[in-house]
Amino acid sequence: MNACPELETLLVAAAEHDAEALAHLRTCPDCAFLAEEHRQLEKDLFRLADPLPPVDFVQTVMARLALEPAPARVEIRTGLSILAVTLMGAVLAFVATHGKIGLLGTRAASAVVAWRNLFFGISEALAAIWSTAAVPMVVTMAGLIVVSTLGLRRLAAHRVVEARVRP
Amino acid sequence: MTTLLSSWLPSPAALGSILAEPTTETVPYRTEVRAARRGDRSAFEALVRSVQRPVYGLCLRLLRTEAEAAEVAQETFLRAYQHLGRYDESKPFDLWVLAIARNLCLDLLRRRSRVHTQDVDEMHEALPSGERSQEEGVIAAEEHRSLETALATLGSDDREVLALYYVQKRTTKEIAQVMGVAPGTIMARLFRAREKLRRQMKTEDAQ
Repeated sequence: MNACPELETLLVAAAEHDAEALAHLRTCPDCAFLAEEHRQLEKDLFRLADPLPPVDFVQTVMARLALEPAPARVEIRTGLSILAVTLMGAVLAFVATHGKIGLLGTRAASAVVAWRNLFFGISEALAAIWSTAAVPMVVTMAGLIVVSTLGLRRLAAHRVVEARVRP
Repeated sequence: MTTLLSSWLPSPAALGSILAEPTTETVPYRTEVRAARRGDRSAFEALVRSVQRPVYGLCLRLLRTEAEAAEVAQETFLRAYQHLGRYDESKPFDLWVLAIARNLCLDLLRRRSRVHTQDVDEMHEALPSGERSQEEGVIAAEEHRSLETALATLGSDDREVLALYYVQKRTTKEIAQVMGVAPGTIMARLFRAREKLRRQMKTEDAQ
């Protein structure tokens, strides 16, 4: 007879119709005994039931609930509170900066346009280089990556040695 | 031996219940939840009536005192009502409420500094056998008592998984949803909890 597998593995495998596990249970009285004990325990556990709550349980819950606002009202109230706080913050910021905060939108829009132009400029330059000298560009990029990686590794190794040497 | 082995094999019905994914059409309590969201308190009362027993049952299994279990179960429904807006309708309502109850119970257990020994005795009176009235002769009262005693000695994690699976007949997928863990871990948890229970009962028998 083979050595007994772990009981958990054996029972899970047996529940999944595993032929080897079932064969082991047929031939090993010790494992079969444990499996039977688990089966009996499961049978007893399945007979247990939830207890009944106190008779006035629902009434008590509903009485406590009567003091609460309705969920829809809570949601509306939360939404309105957020809106009110946001508006108040905006007004305070406007007053505190003497109206200068009104220019914030214009500045943000200008920044977006500037960054967009820069991005398109770089893209066009890269496209031009790629169309005229793709191979040298790839070689240069690969070289840069290799050199950077080696440099970083050396730096990391140096720091490790330093850390070990330091008391 | 053949009977023993065949009893270990899950029936097609059991497999079906494990694999079944609740669709949006079959999610129970949907109408009541929607009405409750609109402020219909009688709809929420119907929901409380429907799920009060599993919620209170889980609380009692975890907390082991009737007063605390009732208090936490009530608090669970209040929280559920307050946060109905956050409830995802594609998930079963009872599992959502059970997850709230579980979190509240675990919070309370964390706050507890010591275990009261009288809890076990109190719980014996509180937890009945499911079919005791019909099948009084099948499982003797003494056996039932020793099972409850052994159960009470387990940790809250073990009691929880055993209660959800055996007492509430939840699928592993549903238990995973309530406990917020991967479904694949539930069978292993169940086995370990059952093995602890088996050893505990052996110890009690020996005494």
